[in-house]
Amino acid sequence: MKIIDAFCGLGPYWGGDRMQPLEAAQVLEVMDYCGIDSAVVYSNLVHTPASVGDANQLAAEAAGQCSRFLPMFLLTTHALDHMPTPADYARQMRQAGARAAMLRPTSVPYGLCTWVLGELLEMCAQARLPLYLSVLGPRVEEVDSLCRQFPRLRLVLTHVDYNADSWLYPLLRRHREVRVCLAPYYIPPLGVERFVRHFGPQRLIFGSGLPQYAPGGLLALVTYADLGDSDKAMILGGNMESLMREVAL
Amino acid sequence: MIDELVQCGLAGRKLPFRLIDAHAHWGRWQNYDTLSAQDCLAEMDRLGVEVMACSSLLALAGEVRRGNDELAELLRQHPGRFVGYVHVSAAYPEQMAGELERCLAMPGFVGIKIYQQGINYDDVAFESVFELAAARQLPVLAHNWGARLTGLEKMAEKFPSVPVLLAHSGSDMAYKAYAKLARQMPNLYLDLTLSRGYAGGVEYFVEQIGAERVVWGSDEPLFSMANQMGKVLFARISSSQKRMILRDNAARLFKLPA
Repeated sequence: MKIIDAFCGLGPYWGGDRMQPLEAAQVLEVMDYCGIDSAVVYSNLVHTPASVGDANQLAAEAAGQCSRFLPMFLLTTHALDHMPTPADYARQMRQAGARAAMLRPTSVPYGLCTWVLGELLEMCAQARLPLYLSVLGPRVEEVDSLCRQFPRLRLVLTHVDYNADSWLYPLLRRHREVRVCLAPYYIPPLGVERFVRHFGPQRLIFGSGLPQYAPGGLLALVTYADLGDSDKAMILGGNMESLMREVAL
Repeated sequence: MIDELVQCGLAGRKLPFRLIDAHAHWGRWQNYDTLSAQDCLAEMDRLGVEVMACSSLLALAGEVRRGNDELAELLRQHPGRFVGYVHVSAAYPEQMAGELERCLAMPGFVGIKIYQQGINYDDVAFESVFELAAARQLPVLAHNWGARLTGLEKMAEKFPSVPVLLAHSGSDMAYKAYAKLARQMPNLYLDLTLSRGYAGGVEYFVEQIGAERVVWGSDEPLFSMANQMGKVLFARISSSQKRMILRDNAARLFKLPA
């Protein structure tokens, strides 16, 4: 069974704790210990106001140095001339071999406003790019609105809390292209089994949230789930592999 | 080479020893999918959990007597699989001693659960709880959040013979505060129950105070039991330390067979 950690940060950042495995070599040690084959990695600069360009360069470099790292790019709006256009992002991602991206609207005032992000979201939808979105920032209504306007967008939600099913299940029923990443704390009791019963195994993706969060708890959540091996294999790596395979940048 | 217990974890196999869950709940809460006793036992069997130590969620919400009675019924029906903490609330200080005496006369209660709910642990209302715990040699499981322990350290110091489990140790990333306190007071135990699995947290506690005073709990039905177990199973500590955390320490506290 191939295990892909679909949500893993790399590198130092302000606010980082020395207890955390910040460096690539430390993350690889954790992956080896836990039996994780590869990781979709983004730069931890995402937690700071640092430039998206710097963050993407670091993710690309990390992936260039270790084939177990699969780069994830951070995307933001093209509002001013100096900012990359959606086509620029697509080209940069192609060059770096990046097949996943993360929307970075939560630290800026426009939220998920689609008249700001529209072109970018259109590019992601057309490219069938898995686009990660933390639900810590936006309101659920904003996520729903975005999905209604871009129904082909393959959103991967992160930071879904353990008591979120009351809004999560209705959202997933409304939008079939929305996926859920376990990282870092989607851990309702028997929640994986219930999720698969309602939505099938295809829409659930294992990720850790390293380096802030350890992968062990979320790994066990899947390996000990009362599911068949094929369902577990899909959640632990197969789903992410399929998503990345279908990207057409 | 992959650690033997990590191999079990990756394969979803039971561990070579049975676990004791030192911090769980019984009853309904918010919109959570409450498990029946049979479902709960089936999950425990699947994961290799022998005993689950519960306190009542209804009692936590304020219906203290009714909640403790619901839990007592579970303990009566399933001796040996569930043990209980009597929940007492300092919001009703006049009822605390009586409720403790009443419940501890029933089979299966092996400890006391307290929650500050606006009244700090060093309040006089909690003193009678610790006096009784000292007299009967019972562990006290105390809810905490973040670095501020709301007077618990004073009570733990005043009653050094009472084992006090600091629930949610390391919450809000306050690992250093919990470890520092536990280093100073040998009657403190660090309870790992937490929705967040902060990287390096388990390893830090073990490094700072040893594995003998770190205990595992699931917090069911709020969090997944497998998830909470995995935090210990995949921590970078030795297999014997994992066993202490997942079983031996709780067995000692609850006077269960090793």
